[in-house]
Amino acid sequence: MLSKRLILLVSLALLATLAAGAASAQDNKVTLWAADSDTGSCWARLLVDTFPREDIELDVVLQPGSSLVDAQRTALQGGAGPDITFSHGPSFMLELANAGLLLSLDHYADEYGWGDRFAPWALDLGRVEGSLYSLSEELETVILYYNKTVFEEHGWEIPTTMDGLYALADAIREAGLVVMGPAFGECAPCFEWAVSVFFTHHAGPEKTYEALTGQRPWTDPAFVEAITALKDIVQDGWYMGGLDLFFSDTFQQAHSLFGAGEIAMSFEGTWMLDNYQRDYFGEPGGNENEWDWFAFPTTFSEEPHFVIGVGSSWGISQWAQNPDAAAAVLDFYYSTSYQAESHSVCGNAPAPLLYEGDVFANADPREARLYQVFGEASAAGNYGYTSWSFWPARTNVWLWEQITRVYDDQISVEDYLAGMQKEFEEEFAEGLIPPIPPR
Amino acid sequence: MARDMSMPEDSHYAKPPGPLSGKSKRGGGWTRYRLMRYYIVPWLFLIPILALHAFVVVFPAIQGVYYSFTDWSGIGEAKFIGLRNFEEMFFEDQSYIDALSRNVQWMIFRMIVPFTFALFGASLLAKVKRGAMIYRTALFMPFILPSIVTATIWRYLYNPRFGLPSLVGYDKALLGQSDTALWAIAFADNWQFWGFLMVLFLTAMQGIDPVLYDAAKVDGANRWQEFWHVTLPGIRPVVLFMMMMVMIWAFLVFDYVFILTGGGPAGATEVIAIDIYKNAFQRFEAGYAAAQGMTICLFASLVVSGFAFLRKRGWDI
Repeated sequence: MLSKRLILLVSLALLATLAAGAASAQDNKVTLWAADSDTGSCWARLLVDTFPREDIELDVVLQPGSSLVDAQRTALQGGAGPDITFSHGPSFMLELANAGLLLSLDHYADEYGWGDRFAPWALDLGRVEGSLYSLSEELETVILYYNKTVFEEHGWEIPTTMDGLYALADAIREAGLVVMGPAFGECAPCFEWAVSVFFTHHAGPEKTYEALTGQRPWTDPAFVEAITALKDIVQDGWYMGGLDLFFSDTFQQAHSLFGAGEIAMSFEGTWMLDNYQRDYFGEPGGNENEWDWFAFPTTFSEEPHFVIGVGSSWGISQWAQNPDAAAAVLDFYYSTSYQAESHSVCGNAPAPLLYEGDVFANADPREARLYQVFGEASAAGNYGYTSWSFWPARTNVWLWEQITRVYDDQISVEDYLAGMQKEFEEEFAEGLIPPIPPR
Repeated sequence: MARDMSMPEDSHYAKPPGPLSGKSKRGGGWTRYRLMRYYIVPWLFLIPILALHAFVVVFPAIQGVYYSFTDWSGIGEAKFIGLRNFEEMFFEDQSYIDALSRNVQWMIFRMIVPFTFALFGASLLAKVKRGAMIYRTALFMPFILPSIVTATIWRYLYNPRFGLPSLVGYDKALLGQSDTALWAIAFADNWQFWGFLMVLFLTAMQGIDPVLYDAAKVDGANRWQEFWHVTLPGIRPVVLFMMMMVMIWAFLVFDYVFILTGGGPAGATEVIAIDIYKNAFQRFEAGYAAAQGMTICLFASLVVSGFAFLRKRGWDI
């Protein structure tokens, strides 16, 4: 009888231990979704392998398909989805926060000292009515890459003014080359890149800031001039040599021609820093060319200016089972050391943190120079705004969708900007403008 | 005397007597048995599939109808706004009207080009005896390719640097010009689709009685007259049914446009489904997108009603 009781007691104790263990693991499980691609796999593997907390089970689920953000949004609406959620940027996260699908990160920001770690403008991007709901990721800007070998062969100098850029474009065309790529045949929203740059680099960052904060209409003559200038260079064949190719060629076609030296420059985002070296120049590209970059010139200064933006934003889902554990994952993810490693191993653009010392020692010197110059320009106030980070959703769709009609002469520049103003006014009244950091 | 096609009384297919008619000579127990057998048990078997259908089709459809009357971002609460979405769509939103007109152009193209190709191809192949299967397989093959593959092939074929245009000295990108892009996409879609139509028509043609062709030959009919007076009437139900389907499918077109141009250049290929996608997932106007989706259902219903009407009028559809 005694032995039976003993067996029963031991069994119960074992069951209790197992149950407690299972509950503990469940209590500390944190889920994330990542795209099932080379970059996504690398990113997921690195995060899981390097995350140091053994008491937290980190589960990164690779999801097929190209519309991961849409799928995640649908899941969140249905009360499911990953614990740590992400989207294309602040305006998308604003929608999720307004729908009550994100948790406030204020007390985690205090607990982990995120305020001292992020660039101030970057942390402000995640605020909704004063509360922090998302953290910005993937620092981005748009620059002019150039085929250094081709430039040296022709003796072309790097322009520091818009006039210099026009003269350079003439010289490139006289040499029988195409001025710049890429083409957007497979990415309609990408038309926003150049519009963002021309608002900041032609009309000026202050005027753009005033427009984004509702103090100046988008129909202002400064913006009319900026968009007219953009329209003129597009219609003049700067991009891909002609409007039809600009509208229809693929990224790969454009980048290959750039690597081969048939296109002299590429008006691209910093997300291409890693790709150009890896795929299109030197041995991988089947050529002996080299690339470098310079800041897109402005009409008002010879100092380098940059539009700033973020590629995505991260937050904690309303449905997260373990928000504290999720916050611990975010804290690790947004450490300078992890960001540097992620950049080095997987080629991910670093988050907008305040980096000190030689964190990017392993980076390509051209990249290192970019982050240095970019940081200096930001500190000096020489920065503007990318539409995908700072424009509200409907206005932004108008911005990239209708600019193609401007290029195709279907609508005038004035009508384009009037339409943008109408959309902006509506969203401004509805409180849908992403936080614009004060200058 | 007309043939009696009715089933014998004891057949499984026999029409059951009215359960409450009181005509049973075997009393209430027998009536209950019949009630159970013919009216309750079949429905019990149907319940699982009906429940599934309700869960994945009916409820979402009803939700869709409801959201079409709301101002909804796609997440969070929806605000009821009555007919405002429809008012905006039909009277204020020029992009919707333009998109609708492109769907109609797409429909006209699809009812002419693939049908012509398929009828012509099927007529020729119907006469082929040796190696017919090879031809049929080869022509049907594009239909089983995923649209992303077909679209990518055609993107390269249309490239003016090294594709088909370069062979004839044309140096413009067909997908990059607003006056040619829609037709270029429609032709790529046609390349995938017409083989499917051809196989259907070919199968229908094989059901035509050969005696009719012999009679036509005796009457001195040439190949064209044979096709017009024998083949076409013989496959008319299939042709008309496929026309109805093509008309409905024309309002659903999305994949080729999305892959090849995304609705560009300059909105020249923006069809309703692209507009819906943009409104739902990029402009966060899911309520408005739902209203646009309702109009697709409406157009499909009109097409089906039109064919039903013709059938009622005696058309062989």
